[in-house]
Amino acid sequence: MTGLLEGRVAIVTGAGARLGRDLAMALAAQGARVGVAVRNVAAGEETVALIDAAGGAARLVAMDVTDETSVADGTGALVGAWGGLDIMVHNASNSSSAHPAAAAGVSREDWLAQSRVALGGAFLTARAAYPHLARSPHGRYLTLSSTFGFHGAAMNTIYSAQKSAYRGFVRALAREWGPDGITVNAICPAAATDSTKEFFAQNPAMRDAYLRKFPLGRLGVPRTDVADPMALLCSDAFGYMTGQIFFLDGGMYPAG
Amino acid sequence: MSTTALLCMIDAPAAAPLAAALDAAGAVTRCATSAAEAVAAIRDTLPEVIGVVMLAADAGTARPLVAWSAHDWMASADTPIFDLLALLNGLRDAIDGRAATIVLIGPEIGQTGAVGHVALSAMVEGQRGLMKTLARQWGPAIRFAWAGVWPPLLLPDLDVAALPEQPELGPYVPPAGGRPGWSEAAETVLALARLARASTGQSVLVDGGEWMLP
Repeated sequence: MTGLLEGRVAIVTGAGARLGRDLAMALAAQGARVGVAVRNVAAGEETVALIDAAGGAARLVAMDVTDETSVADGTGALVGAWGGLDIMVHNASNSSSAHPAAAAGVSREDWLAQSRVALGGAFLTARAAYPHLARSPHGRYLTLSSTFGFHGAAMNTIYSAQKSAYRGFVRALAREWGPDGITVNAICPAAATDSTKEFFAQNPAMRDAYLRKFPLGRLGVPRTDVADPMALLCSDAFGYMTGQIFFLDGGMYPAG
Repeated sequence: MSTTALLCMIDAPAAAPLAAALDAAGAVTRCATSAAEAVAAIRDTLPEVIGVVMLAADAGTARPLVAWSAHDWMASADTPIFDLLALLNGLRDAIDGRAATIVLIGPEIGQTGAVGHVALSAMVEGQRGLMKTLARQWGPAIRFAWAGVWPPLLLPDLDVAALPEQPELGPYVPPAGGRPGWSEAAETVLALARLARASTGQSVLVDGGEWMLP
């Protein structure tokens, strides 16, 4: 298999299902060897098997992004096995992030359930990846923000704030790591993930109303509309782009 | 007729001159330095403008990302976002259904980024994103705005050399003639409060036109 990422080593957190799995598969399809970082080992093994079946290379990385030892050990194990790390994608999010949460009912525990995975996980994965990305001539750090973080979705307080925080994270870290040649960017996807499909299957009127907001008239296909472009962002073609938030949302939100 | 204002300054002692600047700009300003004080002040008399500045202690200290401990990172990057939510929930309860305008004031560093200030940049943008979601949830009664100020106003210990330079070529002066101080920030806060009748969830950089973001 040859591709734009031939010879690169990548880690994708939350790669056991949904968009994370698609991201891992897209990177592998471009020739990267992919560390499938998951808490749920069985789900991660499924992703590894799918990549193997497609002719790619993947390894399971047992990793809890809220645990600094786990992140350091998982990253170290992959680097030990494959000799380096070129790409870190922090995709993991807490399952509660998909549930509506009005501000008035948010407890400290609710908050931490999401923020320890989001901002906490971004920090731990970036810190663990840094020495390896700095040694790579193609160092890439990517995280997944959201249009919710830009327009301030009313229905999801914690998620909106955390995804917004990624903007500041990316802008500052891009400046800090620029001298090392590492690019730091985020994507804002809007895709028809399994959970989105389930939600809209139960709320078809809401689905129709939501689709009207997309100039392209549809929700993105996770693999081809989000994961494959994200893999391209990790290639040399985008080696001069850093500190940016990249919208893969069918034109829904006219940021900037 | 003067405007009544309440300025809540949590872990932001450098914002104290803003109170005097608000008064000089025509407001009658009370100050609170804790959430409890702020809630009590609003229960007593609802001001026309509620200004809020919430930072983390030591927020201006530069530190490379790799030098942070996990505990300190969360304390600086994440906790002040939640603490702001807790404060605003308390203010909302005290506002008790009446109309109010809340203007958040923070360093503009979240929109520009800066070397050594990843935690601060993330926290500030998290607070700004929180402001937007609350503007959508709590409108029309409670309106919000954000004023991003020249970071050293709020963070006097911050190394100005660490701040990114805007992209114009040659010797640089912001197009408005200089970097605004507290006087201009106060005027902007009051103007944003007036604008809140027509708008909510908006952000303005009080930087003399330096960045022109977005």
